[in-house]
Amino acid sequence: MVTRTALIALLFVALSARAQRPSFTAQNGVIAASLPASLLQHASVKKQLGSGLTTTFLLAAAREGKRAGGARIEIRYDLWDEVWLVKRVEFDGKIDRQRITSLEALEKWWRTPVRLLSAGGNRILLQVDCNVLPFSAAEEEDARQWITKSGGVGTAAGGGGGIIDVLIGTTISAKPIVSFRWNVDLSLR
Amino acid sequence: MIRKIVLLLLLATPLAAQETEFFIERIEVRNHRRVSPHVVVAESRLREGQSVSEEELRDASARLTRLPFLLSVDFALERGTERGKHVLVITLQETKPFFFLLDVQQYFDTQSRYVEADDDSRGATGENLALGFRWFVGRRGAVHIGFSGIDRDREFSREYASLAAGYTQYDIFGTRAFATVNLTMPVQDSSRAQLSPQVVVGVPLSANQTLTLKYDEARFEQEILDYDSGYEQRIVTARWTHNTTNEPFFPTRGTLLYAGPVLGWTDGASTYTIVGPDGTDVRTQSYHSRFYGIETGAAKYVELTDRDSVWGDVRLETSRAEIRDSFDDNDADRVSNYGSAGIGYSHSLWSLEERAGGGDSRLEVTARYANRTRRHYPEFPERQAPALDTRQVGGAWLRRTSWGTLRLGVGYAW
Repeated sequence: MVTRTALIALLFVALSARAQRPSFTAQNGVIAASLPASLLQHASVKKQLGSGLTTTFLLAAAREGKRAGGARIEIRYDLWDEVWLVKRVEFDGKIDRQRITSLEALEKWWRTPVRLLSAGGNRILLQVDCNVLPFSAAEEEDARQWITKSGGVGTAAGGGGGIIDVLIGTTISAKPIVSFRWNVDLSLR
Repeated sequence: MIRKIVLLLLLATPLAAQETEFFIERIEVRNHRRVSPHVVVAESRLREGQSVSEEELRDASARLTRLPFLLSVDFALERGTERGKHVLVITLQETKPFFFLLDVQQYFDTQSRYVEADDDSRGATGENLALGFRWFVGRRGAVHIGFSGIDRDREFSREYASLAAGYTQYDIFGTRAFATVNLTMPVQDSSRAQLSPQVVVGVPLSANQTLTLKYDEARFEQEILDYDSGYEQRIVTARWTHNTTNEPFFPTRGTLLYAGPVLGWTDGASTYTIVGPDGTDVRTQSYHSRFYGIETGAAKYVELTDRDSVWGDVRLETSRAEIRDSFDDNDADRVSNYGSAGIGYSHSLWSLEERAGGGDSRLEVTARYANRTRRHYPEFPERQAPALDTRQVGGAWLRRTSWGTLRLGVGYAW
């Protein structure tokens, strides 16, 4: 009985750990991450989401120690309109901005795969970091650097700088609330 | 060019449009036990009845975390009395009323002798020991008593440890400026205690920039057998500081720039008795100097991961002194130039969640090169001091708690 209870407890712990982990997919050479809803339930994240200020999720993917891609997600709850204002900026500069009226809809939007990078080959090993930051990114600075650095053209495949730096570089000065790291081994075939 | 303009329109406009401002109807400070909420609001530089962007709130949050009496702050919005109005809630984690800063780094050379590394710590602060009590009084005041050991290594003036008692008034005339008045008593061997005033005025120019004016006076008197001496120094500094770091003493991210002039005077006089075959002769010797210079520095701290941080800094100073010394009837000018550059890496032993309350425990390795040259004018070859070159590497443990900050380290210098 004790053994069975222990096994169930271990399974629960394993499932909980798995629930924290995003699922990664590859389609036409583009790697995307579907983030778990449990990340929004993390105590520190939940507290920040309720602050009425922007919570920024900064995703940075590294391949063989070099930055290979990334994305940024921003979520803010408007206290007066009672809606979630969300924005997702993917590795190639594609922006998705929405007003979401319920927590269920927010979780559904949150689980939508976010595209991190494009890559070739048969198999890819990645290290993906997710830093959760209070406050929004420096928008004007983003735009300015975007223009001056890369001409606005995303360096999609394997680029270590340019647009990816722009996407994630300017927000790093804020103090992270919490951070996560996932190792990914993905077959591209 | 056209492509850039199109991209600017496509990218900058929608992004900029996202920048939201919040009308702050009221600012509420929570979890304050000893710290006056009025001081917190004043130091945030935010005002009720104004609209602020998230960037301004972020800067205000960073400014508050640099205050030595706050460990951490949380910002949140709540609904105000009418649609579109907000209450800004600032939740504090305070330090204890007792505070200490202990920065002890022992450097040794090849003979395992302790050597003076001839440099201060990596940041702008030079104190290696400070401890005392701080009480907030009234709405905008704070009194403190304590002990301070100063290791500023400024040329042409004396370093001294002192007991101090003082009062700080925040938000003077609603300007967000502060002023501290100190009475210090130098603690020196065989010195008679002399009270000396010290005045510091800080004027915030923006969320990250401050102009600090300081007047520091110190008096020493010594009487050893029949040798009496008195010494007095007065130093005035004005310093512009740009600070985006995350911590008052040992930051892990952000930028620190400072620059400003220094002007000082020293006066010394000693009386001694010579007993010879012809009787007793009482002689007096006097020493006066006036010095001026420029002090600049820059430091950059970058967090590589949530635990790892690297930093680099440079410090450049030049000063000139006009010296009138009656002992050998020697009037001379002296010029001193000082430069140092350092790099370091630190690793936190705590996770982000463990550091959420503001405390930290880090291991640090550092390397530094410092050079000082001193020249006399007119040039007497026998009086030219050799240039001082110092290279040092070291390791230290840093700890920050609600009681204070400490750094204990050892190193090798050559």
